[in-house]
Amino acid sequence: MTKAEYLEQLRACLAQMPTEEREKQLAYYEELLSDMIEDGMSEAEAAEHLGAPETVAAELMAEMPMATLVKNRVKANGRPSALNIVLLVLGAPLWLPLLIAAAAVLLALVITLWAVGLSVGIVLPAVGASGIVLGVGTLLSYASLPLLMALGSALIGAGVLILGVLLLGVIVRALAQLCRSIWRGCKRALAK
Amino acid sequence: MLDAQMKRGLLEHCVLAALARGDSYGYQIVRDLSDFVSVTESTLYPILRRLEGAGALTVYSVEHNGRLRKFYHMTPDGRRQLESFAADWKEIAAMYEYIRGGLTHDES
Repeated sequence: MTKAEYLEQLRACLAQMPTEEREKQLAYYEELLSDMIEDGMSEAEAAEHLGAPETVAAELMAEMPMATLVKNRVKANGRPSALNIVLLVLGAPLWLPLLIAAAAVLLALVITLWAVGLSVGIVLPAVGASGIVLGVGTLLSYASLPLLMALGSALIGAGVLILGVLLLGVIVRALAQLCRSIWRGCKRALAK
Repeated sequence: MLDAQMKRGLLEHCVLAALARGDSYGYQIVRDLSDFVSVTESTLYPILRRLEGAGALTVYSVEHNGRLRKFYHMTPDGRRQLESFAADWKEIAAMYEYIRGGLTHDES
């Protein structure tokens, strides 16, 4: 692939990007290719070194902010015709609730995941803490329970508490990772 | 395999460190860094943009062989960022030494 062909393909793959941004990226890649060629590489070698234009473009699109992707998605459909605008306005009672419902479902899903994860993560530390309180409380007050049992209860409580806190950390991290993946997935779908 | 977030932060400071040695351009930065880290041309660009957005560097063009070449210059803000990173890193370097000590200890 020659330098010009590479840049042309890259430009085509970045069609969804705002013009100004796209030109900046292309200028950067053009400069790189020129520098590599000046360094003694052939045009084909330089193009191969950068990687397939599709791969590079996908990476660059994923870096764009969500708002930009959405805005260009809307713009990419071209200037709406009068008929389209009329249909859009007349159809608002239909598509608006549907859009809101879709967003609400996604939001509900995320909230549910967090709620389930956090409650599982919090129950264990709570059980542990109550075990400690029970054990220490019995030790301090008149010993209705045998001493060893109270001590055991406090120790088991402490163990469960530590385990629970560790588990909570793992759950929170996994949930954050999941949310990030969902977000990136949305972006990738929009960039297509 | 380094955590992606951690690697991104490290790379950002590697780029700043390259610029601390003098103004440079895209291809040269990749070449300077490639001795130490695996960085590709495509990963460098978002980093440069982010640093520019954060005011850590400025960009200017210089004519070279009948075309324009973009040079990146580290700002005083960028230097401060690099200095604070180096200070934080002392702690991490101590941890690394301890981890490595544990590894050699285990061999016996």
